[in-house]
Amino acid sequence: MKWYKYWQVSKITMVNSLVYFWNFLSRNVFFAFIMFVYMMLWRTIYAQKGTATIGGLTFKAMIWYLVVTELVTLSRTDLHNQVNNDVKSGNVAYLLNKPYNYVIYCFSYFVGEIGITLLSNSIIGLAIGFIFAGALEGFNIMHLPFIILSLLAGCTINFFIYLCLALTSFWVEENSAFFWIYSKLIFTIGGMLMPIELFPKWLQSLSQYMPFAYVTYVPARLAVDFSFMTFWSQFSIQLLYLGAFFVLAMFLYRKGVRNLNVNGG
Amino acid sequence: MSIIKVGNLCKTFKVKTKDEGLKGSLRSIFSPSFRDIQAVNNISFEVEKGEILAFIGPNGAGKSTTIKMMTGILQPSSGTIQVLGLDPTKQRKELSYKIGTVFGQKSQLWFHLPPLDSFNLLGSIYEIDKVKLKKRIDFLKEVFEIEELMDVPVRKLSLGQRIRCEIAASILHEPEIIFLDEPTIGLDVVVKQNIRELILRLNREEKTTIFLTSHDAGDIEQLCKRAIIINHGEVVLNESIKKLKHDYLNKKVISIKYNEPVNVEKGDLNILKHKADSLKVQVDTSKQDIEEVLEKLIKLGKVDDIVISDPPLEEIISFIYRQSKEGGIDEMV
Repeated sequence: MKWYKYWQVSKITMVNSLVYFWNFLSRNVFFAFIMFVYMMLWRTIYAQKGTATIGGLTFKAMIWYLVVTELVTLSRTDLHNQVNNDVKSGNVAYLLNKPYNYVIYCFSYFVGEIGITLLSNSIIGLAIGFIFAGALEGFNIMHLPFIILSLLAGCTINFFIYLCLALTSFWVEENSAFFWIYSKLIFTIGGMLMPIELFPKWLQSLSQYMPFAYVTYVPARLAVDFSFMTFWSQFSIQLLYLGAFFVLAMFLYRKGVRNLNVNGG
Repeated sequence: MSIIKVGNLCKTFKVKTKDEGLKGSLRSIFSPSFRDIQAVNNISFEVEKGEILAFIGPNGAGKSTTIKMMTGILQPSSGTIQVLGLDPTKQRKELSYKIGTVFGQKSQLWFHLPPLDSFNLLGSIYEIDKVKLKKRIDFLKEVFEIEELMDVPVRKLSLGQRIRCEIAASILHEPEIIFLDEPTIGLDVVVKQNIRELILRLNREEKTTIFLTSHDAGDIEQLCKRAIIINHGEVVLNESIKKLKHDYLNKKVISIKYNEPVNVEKGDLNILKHKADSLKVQVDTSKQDIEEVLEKLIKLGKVDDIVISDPPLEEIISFIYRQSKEGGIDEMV
């Protein structure tokens, strides 16, 4: 019964998400557009280089890699904006008088929303991949469940990092810069723009120790170059990061609520 | 039996301040300054089981802050609170199963979905058994006359319809106490009356204790037996409505618009305003016969329009507060 309430939160969010169906669809149009731009860019880079692979990836693999990184990024929910505004405006006070854990409530909300966004984006992503690049050579369908697991872990780490940044608004008046910096870190050392193998050695090793690569790079790399050894080592690090950011979100929330400064109705 | 006990409760907020101009802005970056605001200042009171209590005061008086502390949302700076034998600060979750809250300007219903979806979700959040929840929803649909609204998205409901659904949602789990923070704000007179009847029925039939804040004198007059008036974070009056009415609500304001300019001799009239053809007089019904005053005023000239009204609650509260500051409240009540 205790966990059933959180499942119900996910369910109602899923129903609520369908109200924004056209909004999701418009994001998908953007997905197709950005992939088209990437395809033109990388086609030129591959032609200029005159090699079959860059960073160990063929042109086809590169397009599929970018499809997956975009999939993670575009499937992000906007819940952090809501949490951020709720904390700043004091609205969070009205969400606290119910018998649930707020962080898990937010997570359930995310699960409900990501279900719809990820599904609709995956359909579009697969269509884009097949149209722009064609089937990936040597892809084994048996690896798909493991790739999906890593993709979900990436999306969830992304959610908890955004939630932690949103919860800083308990202390910081203006925290929009944090979101901007984080999204740019994902864009660069998270491997969203290009695989981190293309970076200088020192940056590659640095990004291995940062959480950003585990949001986008790891699931995308597994999708185009899967091995069980890489999966188990990288997925376990993803789980570690997920646990760490969940604990951090709980800590920030508990500490923040004690600091809550909501004067007036 | 007291089910709410508040003792010497205080709440201080830290508010960031900034001097004017560019210099002030630069200084606040490197050396921010803060000011303490005493939102609630040493208040104590008790609420009996089954009581309907009005907790009133002007904006910024500390009403909502007190409710937030009583429901465990805010931590008091000092003092003690016991609600249903629980400490809201330490046992917020446990307490939330036993209390309900309606904040007039905030919604707990999902905006794009029909109320039934929100009701089912709240039923799960409060861990109500499915069969029991269905029975409860059926009962509330009938009592609150919201049967035909259950499948309409909340965004399509009128304010009155939404508030009815909000109150029904807040009592799904049969709370022992319900905190109503300005439940009739923005509603027209008919809907206000309807909501008041529902609150009374809730109190009568389910023995729910009602803790009500409102700016509406009608809500307080019709619903409550006792009122606590709070201003600048301090309790300035804790009295039965009967006594409050006798002492303060016996003042009526008569506004008359004449057909032509009139001359008035003050005599025993308490004239608030006189402008050629319009006149505003206050009558203390405990000392003067309102009929006699009316007769006197009508004789002054041909009347175009006449309105008799209660003084606004805000006026009574500020009057009570002024009296308390001057130390005269004890003599007045």
